[in-house]
Amino acid sequence: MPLIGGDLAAMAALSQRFAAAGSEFRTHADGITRRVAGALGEFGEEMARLDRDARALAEQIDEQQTRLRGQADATVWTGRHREAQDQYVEALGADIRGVRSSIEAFVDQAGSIVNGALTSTMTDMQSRVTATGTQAEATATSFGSAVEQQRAAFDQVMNG
Amino acid sequence: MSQELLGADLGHLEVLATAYESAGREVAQRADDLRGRLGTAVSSFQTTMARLQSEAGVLTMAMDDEVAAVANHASAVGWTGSNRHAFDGDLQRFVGIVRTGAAAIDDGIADLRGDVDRRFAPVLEEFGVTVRDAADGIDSNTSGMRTTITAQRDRLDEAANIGWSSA
Repeated sequence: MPLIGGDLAAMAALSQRFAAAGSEFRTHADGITRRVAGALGEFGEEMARLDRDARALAEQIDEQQTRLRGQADATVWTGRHREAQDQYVEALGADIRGVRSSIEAFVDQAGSIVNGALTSTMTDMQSRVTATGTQAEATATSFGSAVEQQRAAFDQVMNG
Repeated sequence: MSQELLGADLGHLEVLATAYESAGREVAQRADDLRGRLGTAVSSFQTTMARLQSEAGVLTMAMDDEVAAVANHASAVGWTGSNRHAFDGDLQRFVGIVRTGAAAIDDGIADLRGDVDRRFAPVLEEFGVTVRDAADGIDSNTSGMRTTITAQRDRLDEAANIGWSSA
């Protein structure tokens, strides 16, 4: 018949070590996840600043276009050659409006990437890490308790 | 019906061409600045993610070492009975949970880095091409406008200032 029993001091040390391992994992995992979330948050803030600046630029372009159009209309130049000039004015206006449209599309696309796919990936990662961290800590704590109960049971049987 | 006046305010035309040239270049430059800022933000984010992924790798290795040490510690503890076997089984479950969590961090960061590369690269590229094309168009049209103005001015000058002979 094999020996039944346990080294009570060693079991107590194991119980503590287990609890420490679970807690350490959760602390580090949460820390890295928070920093990833922080980096994504900073990136999102920079994107929001870019968005504000881009929309302000778009408004300035609108004002500038109105001013230039007024300036072009007020230019004294008659005759058929004026038509060539008007075509250049139209083309330049179209170039500038093209940049304006591109800016809007650009910030919309960039914003939707940050607020869509990246945030979704981040949220998914956070929930997985939080779940496993909680699980690891709970498991370690539970194991620690089980070891402690076992130690106490041995103590009671042998010494109580 | 009166005949329309034929002529031009050449100084005004020069000012207009300059205004368009200046406005167009400024818009193109500021748009390119926005693109540069996004590129910098993406690059900075990726650098941070690379560092955090490296730290996650260190955490994974540290936790592997820790659970191995706990397992060694457990195996060295004098403890017999069926509860000990249950404990060993649960220890393996704990190892699995830790590895799953560490992998979730590593995978999550890798997914973020991949998403950023995959999604922002074409946006930056497309915007860069648009801005460059617009800048080229602005240069070309401004140049055309100036050529037209110069030609008109020369011909007006010729028509208005040369060739008069009094009787």
